[in-house]
Amino acid sequence: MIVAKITQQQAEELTGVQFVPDNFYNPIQDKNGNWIISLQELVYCSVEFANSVELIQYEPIEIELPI
Amino acid sequence: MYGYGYNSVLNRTGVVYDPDALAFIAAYSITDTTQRAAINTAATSLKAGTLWGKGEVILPYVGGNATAHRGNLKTATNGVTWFGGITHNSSGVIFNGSTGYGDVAFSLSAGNALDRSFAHSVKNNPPTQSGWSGNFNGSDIFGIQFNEIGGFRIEALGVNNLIAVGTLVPYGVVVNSITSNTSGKIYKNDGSLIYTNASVGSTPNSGNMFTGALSNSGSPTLYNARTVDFEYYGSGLTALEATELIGIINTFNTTLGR
Repeated sequence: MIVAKITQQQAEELTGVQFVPDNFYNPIQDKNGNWIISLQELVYCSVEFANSVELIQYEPIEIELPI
Repeated sequence: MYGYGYNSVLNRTGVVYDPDALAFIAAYSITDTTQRAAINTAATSLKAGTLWGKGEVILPYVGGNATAHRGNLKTATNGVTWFGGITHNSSGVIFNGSTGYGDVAFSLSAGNALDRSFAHSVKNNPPTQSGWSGNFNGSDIFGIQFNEIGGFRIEALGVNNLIAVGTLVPYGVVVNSITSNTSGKIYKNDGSLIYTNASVGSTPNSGNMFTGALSNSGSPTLYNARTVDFEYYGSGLTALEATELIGIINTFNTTLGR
């Protein structure tokens, strides 16, 4: 899955912002510490913003559940 | 039956609407007549037995947009808040498996640790990665994990205790219900029992349930990439109630052609 790598500052700017009515941006960190948003969220960013990001493969943080 | 009354409202087409269904329709601007009829049928069916009274957050995911998909049929107020990459359309809520999830206004606590239910109507959505919906507090978990290994299956589940399952299931409704410290049960779409936990965990989870991801003490993780088209959160359900709920949800979704 391809996602958009953003800076921490961009993540802080997007947090709490609605990209469509009643749906908020959710910048998260991947397993390598990169801040990312999904492409579904990126398409609602400005062209300038979209051109500033790098597209990378999503690598989720893995957590151990006590099964 | 036609006419005005304390418990009914007559609309211009002569259909008698349940007042709670009508409140929901008005609050979330549902204009499609098929959707309106389905909402009305769901509300009246839930009220025919004990399911309406036991439900706290009932999310029919109808209307095709993020605002309408917030609607709680029980109260005609918002029952969920959406974050991240989610597609909202007539199929329901399609999570993206990386950032999209919903924070459901159904809070777990010591007070409902042994009296809670969670019904989740789910369909597949590529990519077919593993993912959770539910709440995890570091030891106990209330929720469900889906995967695709040899078909669609429940990979693990939590009726407070976390249990690996690996059971193939049809797409549709899965009901997760706790009614006592010796009765945590999971039912699948045909109403049959998948799993019984006779030793329900004693450490109560706290905080809201998440859909599309697992709440890890309030932080979303293990995101899910599935289409969800109805959810019910409330008190623990008996086997008969679970079967009734599954039937109502499937009738609702069949009416909507999804």
